[in-house]
Amino acid sequence: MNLPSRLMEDAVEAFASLPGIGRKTALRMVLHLLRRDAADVDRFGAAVVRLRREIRFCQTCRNASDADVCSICANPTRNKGMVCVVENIRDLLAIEQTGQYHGRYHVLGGVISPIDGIGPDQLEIASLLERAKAGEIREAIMAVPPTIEGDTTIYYLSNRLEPLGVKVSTIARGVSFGGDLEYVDELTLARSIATRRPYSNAAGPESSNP
Amino acid sequence: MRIHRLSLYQYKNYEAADVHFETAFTCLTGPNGAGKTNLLDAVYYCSFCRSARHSVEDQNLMHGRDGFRIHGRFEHQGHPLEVEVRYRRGGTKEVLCSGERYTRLADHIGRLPLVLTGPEDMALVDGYSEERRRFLDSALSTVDRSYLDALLRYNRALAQRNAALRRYREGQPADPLLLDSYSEHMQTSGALIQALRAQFLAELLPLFAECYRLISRQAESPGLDWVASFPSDGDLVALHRRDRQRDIGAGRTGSGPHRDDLALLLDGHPAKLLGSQGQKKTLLYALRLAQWLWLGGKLGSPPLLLLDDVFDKLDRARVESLFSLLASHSAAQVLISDTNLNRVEEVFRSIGVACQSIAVEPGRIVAPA
Ligand SMILES: [Zn+2]
Repeated sequence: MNLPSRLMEDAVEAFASLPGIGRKTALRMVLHLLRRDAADVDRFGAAVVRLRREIRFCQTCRNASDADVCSICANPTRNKGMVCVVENIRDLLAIEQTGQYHGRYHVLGGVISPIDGIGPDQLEIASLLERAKAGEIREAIMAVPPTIEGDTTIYYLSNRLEPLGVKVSTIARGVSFGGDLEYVDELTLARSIATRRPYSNAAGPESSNP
Repeated sequence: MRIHRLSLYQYKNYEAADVHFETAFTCLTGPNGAGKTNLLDAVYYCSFCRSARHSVEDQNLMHGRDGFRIHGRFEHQGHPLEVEVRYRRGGTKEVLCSGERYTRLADHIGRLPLVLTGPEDMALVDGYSEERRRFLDSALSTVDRSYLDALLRYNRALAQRNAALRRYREGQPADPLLLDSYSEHMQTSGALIQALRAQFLAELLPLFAECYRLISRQAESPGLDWVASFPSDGDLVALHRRDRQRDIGAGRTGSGPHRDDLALLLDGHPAKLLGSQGQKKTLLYALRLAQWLWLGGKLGSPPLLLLDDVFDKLDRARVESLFSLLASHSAAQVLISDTNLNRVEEVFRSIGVACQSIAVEPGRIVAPA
C-alpha cells in the first residue's frame, strides 16, 4: 500500500514498530491523529518524547520514577525491611496491582543466562547487595520465573544475601505461576506472596515441589 | 497402538500418497530409492514431531515445493487419534492432534508410542554413546513425564553451565558460585534421571536376553552394562568443583549423566569391539524388540513397530523367529519394508501369518499388489 504522504508513511512505520501493532492498526491510529486538534497531538507527542528523555530509575530499587527515589521507596507507610525481587518493571506492576503487598522492591533487569550473555554483572545484583549491607533488608522475597534461569538467580542471590543476615523466601510456584507474573490473576498472585516459603540451599532448588 | 491410514502431500519424494493399513502386518515392497523409508519416516514424524533422518525441515520437502503435509489416522486403546503435521518453507511447523494445535511439541511426546529400526540404526550398537543415551531417553520419556521434565531441566542447566565455561575460557573471571548453582540443578535432576535409567535397564535386561535367544537360537548370553560417569549417590557438585579448571579449559562440562554410556555385552565381553556383524545385528533387533515389549507393558498396549530393511540385517531363519514372536502378540501392528516381494510372501506363508503387501514405485503407491 502506497500512502499519499511521506509524513504519513513515517508515522505509520513508527506506530507499527510497537509490540502487537501491525501496519493496518498503525494506519488507523495515524488517520485518527490527523482528525484531532493540532494542540492535542502536540501533547501526545510531547508525552512520548518526555517519557524517554526525562524518566529516571529509582536509586534504591531501579523502578521507573520521576524523581531520584520512586514513589514506593519514598512512601513511609511501606515496610522497609521487606524487599520483593523481580525480573522487570512489568512484574513489579503486576504485584502492585494486587494491592496486597506492602513492602518494597528490587528490579534486577533480567535473570542470569550466560547463553544470552547475561552474567551476574549485567544485572542489578551489586545494588541489591549494597542495600543488604546497609542493613536495610530483613527479608527478600524472590518472585522470578520457575525456569532454570530463574532458579539459578535465586540460588545465586540467596548465597550472597543469607551471610548478610537476610532471610530469603520464594513465592509459591505451582501451576498458577506458569509464565509471566503479568498474566497471573491478582488473587492467585496475592496468595502466592502470602504463602511464600523460606528458601533453603541445602534442599536444592524448589523445582521438585510442584 | 494402531495406524489405519496415512496421507502425504509433498513430503520427500511423494507428490501425494494415501495408504490404508488393513492387517497386523504390512509390508512395503519396491526397489531401493522408491520411497519405502520415506513412508515409514512419515509415520515416525507423526509420533515424534520430526523426521528420523533429516532434522532440517527443508530437506523433508519435495524438491521445488513450498510446504508439506502429513496426516495420519491412529487408534490408541480404542480411541481414534488424528495427527496432522503442516510445514511451510522457511516458516514454522504445526502439529495438530485431533484438531488441536500444540503450543509445545514436547506435549505430544508419548501420545503415539512407536519403535523404529532403520538402516542407520546400527549406530545404536556401533556408534557413539549419544545414540544409546537417546535410546534410553526416548523410551523413558514416552512413559514418564517426570523423566522428560528432569531431562529438559538437566539439559538446560548443562547448556547454561557450558556457556558460562566458554566465557571464562575467553578470559572473563570465573564465578564459582554461578558454576555451583548449575551443578546443584544438574545434581537434583541428574539423580532422578540416573535412578530411572537404572530401573529401566533392570527391567529391560530379561526381555533383552529372551529376545536375543529367540532370534539367534544360539547359546551365547547377552548383557547390558551401564557405565555411569559418576555414582548415582555421588556428589556431582563436589566432582564439578574438583574438575573446574579442566572444564573451563575444555569449555564444557566433563561429568554427569550426559556422559553415561550403555555397553552391550556378549558372554561378558563388549560386543562393539568383539562381536561379529551377525551378532551385532541380532543385538540390535533384540534391543529394539525389548524396548517395544517394555513400552507395551508400561502402556497397556504395544507401540507401533516399524522395521525398515529387516531382511538386509537378518538371515531368513532369524527373520522367521522374529516375526513369529511378534505375531504372538495379538495387539501388535508391524510395518516392514523390503525390496523383494517373493521373499516376504514366502516368510509369512511359512510361519502361517497374514500380511498385507503394498507396492511402492518411485514417488507413488501402487494399488494392492
Ligand atoms: Zn524505589
